[in-house]
Amino acid sequence: MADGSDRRTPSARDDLALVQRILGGETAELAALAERLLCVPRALKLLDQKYGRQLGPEELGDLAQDVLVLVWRKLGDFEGLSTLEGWVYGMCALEYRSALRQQRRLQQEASVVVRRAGAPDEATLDPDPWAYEEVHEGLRRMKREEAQVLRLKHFGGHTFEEIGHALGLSANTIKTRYYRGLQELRARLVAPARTRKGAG
Amino acid sequence: MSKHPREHEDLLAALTAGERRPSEPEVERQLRSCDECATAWAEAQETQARLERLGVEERETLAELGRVRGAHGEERVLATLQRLAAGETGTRARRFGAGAWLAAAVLLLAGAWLVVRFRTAEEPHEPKWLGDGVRLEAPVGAVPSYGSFSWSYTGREVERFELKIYRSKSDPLDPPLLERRLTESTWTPDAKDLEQLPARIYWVVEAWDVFERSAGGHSAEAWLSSR
Repeated sequence: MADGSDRRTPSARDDLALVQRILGGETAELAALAERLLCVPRALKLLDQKYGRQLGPEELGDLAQDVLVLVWRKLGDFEGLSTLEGWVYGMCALEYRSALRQQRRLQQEASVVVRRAGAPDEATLDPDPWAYEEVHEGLRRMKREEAQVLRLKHFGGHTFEEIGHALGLSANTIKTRYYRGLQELRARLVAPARTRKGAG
Repeated sequence: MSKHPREHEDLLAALTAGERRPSEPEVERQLRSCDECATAWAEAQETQARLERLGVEERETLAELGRVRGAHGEERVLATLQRLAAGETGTRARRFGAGAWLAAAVLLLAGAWLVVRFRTAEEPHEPKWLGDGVRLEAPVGAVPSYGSFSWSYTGREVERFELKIYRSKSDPLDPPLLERRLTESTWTPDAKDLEQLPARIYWVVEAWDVFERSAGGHSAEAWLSSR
């Protein structure tokens, strides 16, 4: 497969070069990386606004540090097919949802202890709390090439032609991969949903 | 391998790519005459809708990022990266924030509640549900021996389970008597382990995913009926 390095958007290409310099040990570039990763606390702030400001500022600040640690650990996986913002957003969203659930669990525990009665069901607060995790876990576990097409199409917002161009493949190949990817993801999403229904 | 004709699959690929429309007479005919095509098309639309819903949320958030300033934690980004680059990957110092205060309050209330409960008759305790995922199966309540510890898990993919056994429910903050990291949903204590277990135990299982995020936990009490 062609790496498509000459076809990436300048920003994603710049990010890839920056990450490669960092991985190469150029610590002088840390300030530039920090500038790019300001998107981490900012994305968390936006997510919190969207979810009705559920976490306090201190929790958000701490969560940002957790995400940065995760980003640092996974830096070697960055392929430059999207900008750093696009790449880290998934980690921000996963960690934010996880923190939110943990907070709700604590609130629920407190409510149970105080009233010794059932607290509001998490489902009433978020009807499908695992939707994000399930989709991304499904994408992580499926065939890499097909997952990549689904990600670029739906999360990158690219056309099939653009994806083909970026990956050095024909648009028809991309469309076939896209359809196969949908089938595979569907199969992976149905299984956990059934398990949970069965358990409930 | 599916026996679904290749040309049907090609048509479905064209449909999902938006090249063909279900209202086209030829497509409509095929979707009516081939159950497999109809099902596959319905499922593909559902999956597309799910992806698109998440994708739109992500793209909207990313589009708004440029306008956000002054988010909490911005001032610590460079220092955190410098620490990480220097190889300091240990736990960061957390502020005692609202979540921690809440957790402390919960523990305090739970402690008070437990004191009240322990003064009442020794009735079987229902396992406490701590969130999604784990359900403890055995040992729970009065048992002739501890035997195997077992639990079930449903939910997103997890990497491992963490089993902790405490002396009693009243001292879950004391170090656990036994602690195990397991990939299976069962654990059998050996003779040496059993020696450490008192007549009454409080045990907790928490599931962890590959990103070291908790996927929920469950706790229960068990005691030896013969002692």
